[in-house]
Amino acid sequence: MTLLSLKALRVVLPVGGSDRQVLRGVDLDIAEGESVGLVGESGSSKSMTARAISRMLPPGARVDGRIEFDGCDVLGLGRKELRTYRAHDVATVFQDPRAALNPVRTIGDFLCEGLRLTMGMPTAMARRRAVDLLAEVGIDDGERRLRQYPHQLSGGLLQRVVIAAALAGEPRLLLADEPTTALDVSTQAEIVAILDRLRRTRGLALLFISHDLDLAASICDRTAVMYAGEIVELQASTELHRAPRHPYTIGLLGARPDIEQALPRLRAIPGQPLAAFEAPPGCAFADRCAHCVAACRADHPRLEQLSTALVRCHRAEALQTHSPGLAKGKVS
Amino acid sequence: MRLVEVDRLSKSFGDRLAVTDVSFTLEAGTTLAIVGESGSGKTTIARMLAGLETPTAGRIAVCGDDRSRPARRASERRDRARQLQIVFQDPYSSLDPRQSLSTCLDEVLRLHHPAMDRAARAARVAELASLTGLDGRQQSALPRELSGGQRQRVAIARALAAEPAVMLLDESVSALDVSVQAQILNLLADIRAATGVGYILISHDLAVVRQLSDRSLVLRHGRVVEHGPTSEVLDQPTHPYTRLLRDSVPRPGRRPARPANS
Amino acid sequence: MTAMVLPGVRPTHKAGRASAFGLAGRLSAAVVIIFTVVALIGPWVAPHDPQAVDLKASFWGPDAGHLLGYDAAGRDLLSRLLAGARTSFLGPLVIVGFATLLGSSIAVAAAWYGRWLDSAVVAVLDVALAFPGLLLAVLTVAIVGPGLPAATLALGVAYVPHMARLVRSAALREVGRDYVDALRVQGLPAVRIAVRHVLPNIWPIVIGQAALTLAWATVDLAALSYLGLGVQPPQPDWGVMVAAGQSGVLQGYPAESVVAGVCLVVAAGAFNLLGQRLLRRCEGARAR
Repeated sequence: MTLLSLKALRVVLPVGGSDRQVLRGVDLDIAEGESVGLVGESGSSKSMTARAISRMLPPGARVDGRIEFDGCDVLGLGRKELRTYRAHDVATVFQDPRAALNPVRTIGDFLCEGLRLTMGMPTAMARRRAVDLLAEVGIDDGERRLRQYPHQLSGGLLQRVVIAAALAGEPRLLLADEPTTALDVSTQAEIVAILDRLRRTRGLALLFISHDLDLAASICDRTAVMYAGEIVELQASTELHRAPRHPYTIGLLGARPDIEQALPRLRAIPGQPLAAFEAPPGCAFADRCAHCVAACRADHPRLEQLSTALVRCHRAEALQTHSPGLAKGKVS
Repeated sequence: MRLVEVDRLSKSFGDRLAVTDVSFTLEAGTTLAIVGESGSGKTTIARMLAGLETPTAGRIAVCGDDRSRPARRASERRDRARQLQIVFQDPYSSLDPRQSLSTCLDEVLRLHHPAMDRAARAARVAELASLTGLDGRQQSALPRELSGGQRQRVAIARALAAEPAVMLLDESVSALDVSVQAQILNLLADIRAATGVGYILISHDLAVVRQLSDRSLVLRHGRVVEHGPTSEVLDQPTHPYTRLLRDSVPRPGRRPARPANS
Repeated sequence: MTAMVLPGVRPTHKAGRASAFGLAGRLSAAVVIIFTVVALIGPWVAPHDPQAVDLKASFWGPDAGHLLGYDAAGRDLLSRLLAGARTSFLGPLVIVGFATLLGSSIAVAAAWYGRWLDSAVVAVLDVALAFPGLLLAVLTVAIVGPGLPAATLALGVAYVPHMARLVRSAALREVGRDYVDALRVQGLPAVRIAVRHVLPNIWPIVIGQAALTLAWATVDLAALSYLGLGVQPPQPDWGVMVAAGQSGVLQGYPAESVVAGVCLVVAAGAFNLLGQRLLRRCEGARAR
């Protein structure tokens, strides 16, 4: 059953008097309890997608298309419904937990305020609930933590607190926007394990935004790859790694150094990632693509089904017949 | 040839020990990786090697010259600059926002080669730019007109301008997009092959460490927990912390299952 | 709950830059330029001798050739205003120039060397900031004796802490950037890095703060002259004119005090607005 559905989502932001397109038509469905990865480099507007879903776009943003949550039109929500939507339907966890917490208020204040306001709980009950929530994210000595201030906790613990706070409203969808990027590798593994467990025990749907394909694949059922404000490939995470279809996905997987072995040379993708507003009329990846033909520059490719994948590439079908090694992109 | 020799290096800030008893060496044309997470002391070691911090105890020698104490004379500072250069992590803060690649390199060249005339300096700037893969337009562009990867190329060119024997790469590729990171890693490997420079790679990214380094040193809380050839450290880690780091690297299709302990 | 993790939405820096200066900023810049030109050429374009006394014309209103009328001693008001612009407007420039030079040197040195020097500078600044600048200047002039040079120097010194405090925080931020470390590792002399790299990058903030300080200096120097501690009568000066016009105000002839006062307010206001706009623009440019 589809929980969240994005249909031809376009977003334009006013920047210095002119308009800049940041999302160029995003279609994405997330089923109840499903985890979907949204992976892209800088300029891909992956975070803007999350902001559009939670209706937290900068002032002046123009949104086109449809966002449906549980069949309900999110873009049409009034002020009061929007508050309920953000409190009980969709919760967001950002990259930097320190930015989310007020440094002069305790963890307890932070957690309990939300519980009192959104759930209407009396203080004592809210504290008990807060301790339960902390236990759920793997913090056992919750009573003590509630009395502590953000600066007394490590980044990993703070991110758990923020996740606990996100759970307070019993949301059905969690938007995690690079939740581990500011953390150490070993802490990252812990946070990812917690998110993974939460979504299993609570049946929580998860939109996991990351720049790391491997990380997304480790907890997401399906992964969407974004480039220049649109999805260029979407398929099951394991399939995406086994048989990537879009030259950009192939390039990203090939460019990453391998933890198992040193390669004689990395298969770098030439050029720079493009921002959505810089995208040409044809395929946005054309300039960096080894398989680019005239049609790629002329026509904007559509997201089309190719066996198990959705791919936005004119050449995907032709390239499929080649061996995977051939499709690995230019060596620069 | 032994480029760097670090012997029982320690650094404390007040009563906090940042680095304790760290020793290692670096041979010409090779790369030593210093691996650790935040608070491991890896950045403090880098700053001591670069002369930006003074060690509390221990000895640092680069190209045979002791640099455990701050340089006193200007000529001594310039000599040290030609022995070791550093490339930082953040390409947005590591360049003077008012200097283009050309003016930046020109300033460095004038300092190290006072005898060089304007034409010779311009030729060398062009040479360094092409070595780091920057075109003519990018040579005269201000940092804000360049992308992250291009800025990092400028930072590498600036370090190379002093023709150092050792380059210290302090998380130099971690802030870059994956597709650009691969370009820079290839570039660094090319430079090493072409010039015989030795790298000290400070990184938390084990895949990058595997790709670029010959030997690795794993730091935890300022102490060395494991030290050896990179392939051995990563394939047969002996210390539990190294194993933890190794197991924390995400891999597709493997559910994260680490017990969540606070 | 989610509302709590909403990051602050701030305008992108390009939009901030475009709107930061605005009409008011451009208008105040124009006022400052006009006043500066008048201050430079005022005495030469004055239609009459600003010192020429004509007791018969005491408190006369405007007439042909005397657009603003006469003061108590029958001197041409417009000419005195134009001539007075020099001390009233260029005096503060000297004061602020001095404070900026000394203040930013101290600030950059403190930010660069850090440790004990920075702690000492901060301690001294905190104490100095506890005294109002004008009071300090009054005390100094009381000891040294009145006159324009003494008043200028006293105010200049009084503004050093204000300047130094702001520039120090900007310099600290700049010195903490990696490129400064990279240049140190290159073996560049400290003075060169500070003067050729750090200072130019914080220059816009220094200029903005200088413009703000000019607003205070204009008012404070006029106040000293008004109190009889700065410019001495009969030399024309706006502060002196406000004071001299007081007797006229009592007799129902407020023209002298009013025109000089209006000039002071406009000048101070223009400097203030300009400074604020410049500083706001710096902040916009930094928030990338």
